[in-house]
Amino acid sequence: MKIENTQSQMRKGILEYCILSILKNGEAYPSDIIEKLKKAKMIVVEGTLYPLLTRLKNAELLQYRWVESSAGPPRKYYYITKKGNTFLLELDNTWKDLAKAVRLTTKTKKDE
Amino acid sequence: MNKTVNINLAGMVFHINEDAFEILKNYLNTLKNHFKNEESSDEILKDIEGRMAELFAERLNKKEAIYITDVEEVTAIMGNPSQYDDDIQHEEIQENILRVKRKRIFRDEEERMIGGVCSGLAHYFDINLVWFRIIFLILLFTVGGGFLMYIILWIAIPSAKTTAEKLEMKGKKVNISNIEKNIKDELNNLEQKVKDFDKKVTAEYGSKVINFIKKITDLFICLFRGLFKFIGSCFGVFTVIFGGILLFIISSVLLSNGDIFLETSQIFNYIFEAGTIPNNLKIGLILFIGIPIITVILFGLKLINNTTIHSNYKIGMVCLWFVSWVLLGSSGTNIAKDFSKKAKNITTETIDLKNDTLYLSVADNDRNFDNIFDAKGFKVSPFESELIGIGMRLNIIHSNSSSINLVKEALAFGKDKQAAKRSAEAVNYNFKIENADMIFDDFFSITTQKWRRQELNITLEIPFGMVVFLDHSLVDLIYDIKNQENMWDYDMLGHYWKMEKDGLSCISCE
Repeated sequence: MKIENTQSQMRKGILEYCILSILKNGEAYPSDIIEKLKKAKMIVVEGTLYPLLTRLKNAELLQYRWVESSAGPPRKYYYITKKGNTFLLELDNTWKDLAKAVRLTTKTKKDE
Repeated sequence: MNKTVNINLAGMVFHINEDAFEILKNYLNTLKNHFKNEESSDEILKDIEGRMAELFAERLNKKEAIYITDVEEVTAIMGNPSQYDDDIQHEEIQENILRVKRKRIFRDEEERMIGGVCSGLAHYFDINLVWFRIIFLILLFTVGGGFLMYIILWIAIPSAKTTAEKLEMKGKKVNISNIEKNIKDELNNLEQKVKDFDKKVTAEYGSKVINFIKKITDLFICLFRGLFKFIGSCFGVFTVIFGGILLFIISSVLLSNGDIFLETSQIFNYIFEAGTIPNNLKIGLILFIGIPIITVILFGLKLINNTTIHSNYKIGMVCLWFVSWVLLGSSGTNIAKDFSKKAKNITTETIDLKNDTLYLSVADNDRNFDNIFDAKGFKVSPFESELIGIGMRLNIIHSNSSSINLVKEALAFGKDKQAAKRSAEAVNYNFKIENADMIFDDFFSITTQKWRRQELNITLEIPFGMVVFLDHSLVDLIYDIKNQENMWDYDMLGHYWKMEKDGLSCISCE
């Protein structure tokens, strides 16, 4: 069993949660999202983000609008939808539960 | 200088170096392949392409073209599919950003001893490096050919410079299934093209028949192309192996002074003044024969490996080939010089004989002259460390005195009169007198051990009234003997001949 596989399994679900959380504070262009995620060491390569954004958009949790750019091709600015917000709220709760669960289980181990 | 291509990435036009373009194309294909089962794969790809276009644009502030390093950096930022942490399951995970299409041979300069040839070969054949080094060392010390082989490979095999080349160098083992995979990839590519074409055609004509025909023909073209590629590779491997062996043999033979073909080389010993092939002729021969063979090998390598040889090497090889012409020409004229002047050496021996009849025959010494070197009817042969000439001519004429004389007239060539004379004097011919028998040797020896087109004419002078019997063993020796019956040499054998005023006359013929 590879550690990388487990790590990526753990990150996978959380990544969507993180993206939605970032967009909760306002619309953003993928590079901004990437920067934040990179800082948080959630992703390593940029390619990870694009399929996720598209999937979230297809699930109608996100929407985008085109913005002309001086430096290159027009950019997609993503923003969260109503449905996305509800989804995020649910994830917030799930995350809190999970964090609690993890804290509890790891604590028990340490105490032993 | 690099060739660039223009690409349109997310609506932006870029100049990109051809090699960088290949890597970029591979990368995007890998992504395409990765997302092929994704619902909106086109959109994802467009997003990624857009981002890459942006990154490239940032990089092109001062320069105009995209280089391999740019592509490598940008693809590293974007990452390869195995780093994407997504759910998409694939038959095989792409290990590298740059998909290794097939293995190519490169010199590995990072692990080099001299030129990295051995390490490159080791990567290519997946055999431990040590073995190649041992093989080359053995070849170097036993026969000189190893050195030449190394130099050629050094020139012919490019060193792995870019990451892409390093990956290709260490890439997948080359075998039939890889080639098969290449063909399959090619087919997939084509399928994609056909699909694109379909869309166009359907839009324009709505004709399915045209689609179908187009599909079928393209499929065949693709299959044939794959087949030709495969045959080309096989042919390339064959040429390289065959040429390599040939080159190895030839260089070994010439460098080791012909020890392998000892018998043939003996001839050279008897021609050249120094006793061995002169170095300029040797080098000339190696280059003259070697360069075309190397060209064939390089052609073979090109077929298997797509190796391109720097044009400087090509020009160098052509120049060397012309040098070989010059070397061969000068050696040729040197040899020709040794045969430019002719001289004669005449010796006369008087034979004491009481009898009236002389029985002429040729000694039967049962010698087999091997390696006869035939030149215009005269033959020389190295025999028991002696140089032997055969093909003397015997004539019988009347003597001006009452004695029996044997006149030996030796002819030879040399670079001047004196040398020619010396060569002629070196001709040594023996005969025996036993009672009434005169027994000729069937060869003459050349004591200088140098062949200078020596010829020997023997003339037996007998007084009038004397009778000679010509034995059948003289068949190869007698030459145009004048006789009153006007008989052919061969018919004169086995008869008694009397010397008269008008020449020999047969006294035993009917």
